[in-house]
Amino acid sequence: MELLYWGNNGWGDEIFFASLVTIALAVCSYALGLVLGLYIAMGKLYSNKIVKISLDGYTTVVRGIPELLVIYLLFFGGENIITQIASVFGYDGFINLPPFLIGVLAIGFISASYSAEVFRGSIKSVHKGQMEAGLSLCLSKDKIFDKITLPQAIRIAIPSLGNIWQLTLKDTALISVTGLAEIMRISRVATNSEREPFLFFIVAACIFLFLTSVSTKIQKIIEKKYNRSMVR
Amino acid sequence: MELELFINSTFEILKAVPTTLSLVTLSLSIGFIMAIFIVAMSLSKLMLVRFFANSYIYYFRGTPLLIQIYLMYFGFGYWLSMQENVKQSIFWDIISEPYWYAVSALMFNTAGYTAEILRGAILSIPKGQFESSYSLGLSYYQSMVKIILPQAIRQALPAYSNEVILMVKGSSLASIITIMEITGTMNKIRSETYAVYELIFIAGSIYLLINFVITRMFNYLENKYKVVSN
Repeated sequence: MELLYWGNNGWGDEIFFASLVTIALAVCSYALGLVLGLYIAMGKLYSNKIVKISLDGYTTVVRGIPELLVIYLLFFGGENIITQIASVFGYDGFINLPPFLIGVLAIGFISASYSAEVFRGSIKSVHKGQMEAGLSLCLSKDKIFDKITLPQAIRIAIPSLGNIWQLTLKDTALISVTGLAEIMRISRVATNSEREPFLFFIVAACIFLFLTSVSTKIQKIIEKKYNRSMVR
Repeated sequence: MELELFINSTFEILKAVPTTLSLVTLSLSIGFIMAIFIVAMSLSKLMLVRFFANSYIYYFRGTPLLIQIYLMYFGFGYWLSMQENVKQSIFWDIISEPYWYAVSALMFNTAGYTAEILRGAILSIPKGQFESSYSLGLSYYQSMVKIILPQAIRQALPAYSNEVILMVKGSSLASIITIMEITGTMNKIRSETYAVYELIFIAGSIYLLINFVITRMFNYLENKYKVVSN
């Protein structure tokens, strides 16, 4: 049990800060996923054919290959691409990306492909009459989307978006392969150096269980809030 | 990357496909049987049994798959390797093989998810089905196996196809405990040749193909056992 104390002799502080890294990683990539996902969904619904097909390809591919491959692609290939782009603008020299950024991008891209499908479905499920009513009030197309379609779509999307948050939170564990000091990485290092097979992994599992159950609670509150207007 | 290298590594990665498929099919089939037992337990009248089943589902759905694999291999496997009498026993050849740790981790994981899917499906079957089968004189067990489960499994098909695809994707994590399935082989070639994009392209296409075939198979099943309303 001394192994979990705070300070130099225990791993308590390391595990605590690693949990913060995991939470930060999950929040950032989820936010990135939401924004990207909304734009992808809009592109899928309202753009021309070429954009539609390429966006469909994006979501199909990213949802069809293992998350680990996406992470490897960005971790081993991302810096190359950035360096090459920079060399076009006259910067020569290798650009190193911080592992946190790579993690956010990788998990964000994955989460975006899931959110995009959810947004697309929920935007489509808003009744067509809503848009016609907006047109009859002489609102512009953008305004109809912002003020009429989107708020209703978000209410429908909220339960599935909650599920995606849970997926994203669990996906952050995979970022440990890049060496970023999040929960999984720290518990693996601690296990190796203390020769204690179960303790640290069980602590890590408990932290994840705590995070998922807290987010389930918050999810329920948000769902209730958004369904307020629908209760009769 | 030259063409020759590209073709060679394609063949080498293709050789790893059976490992991935055997990991997935083995863990899915045992996991499904386990899931049926867990669901039976979670619908039990005894509170302790119910509590055990529910906490099983809660744990395996609430933690990342990676942590379950780590606990299995670096935790349980490491602990086993420290026991002298295990090392001397005849089972050591099997126990020291990381493949079985990956299979069991994936199996426990999918059992938890499948149990949740099945439970949702069983609870979605109208109560009248139970009542009418009781009125025909069937026992609880008979009405469960003959009336409720067939309908529930049909209900669960779309969700289960998702779970199978998640399993195919999850099997890539076995590469972390040194198993040479698709991702592991790809990573090995990558560390030898420093090619990234081509190798990920090859491995990704294979995964996409596998998942495409699975989706098609489930679509066929769903159409075959279509629910005819009215």
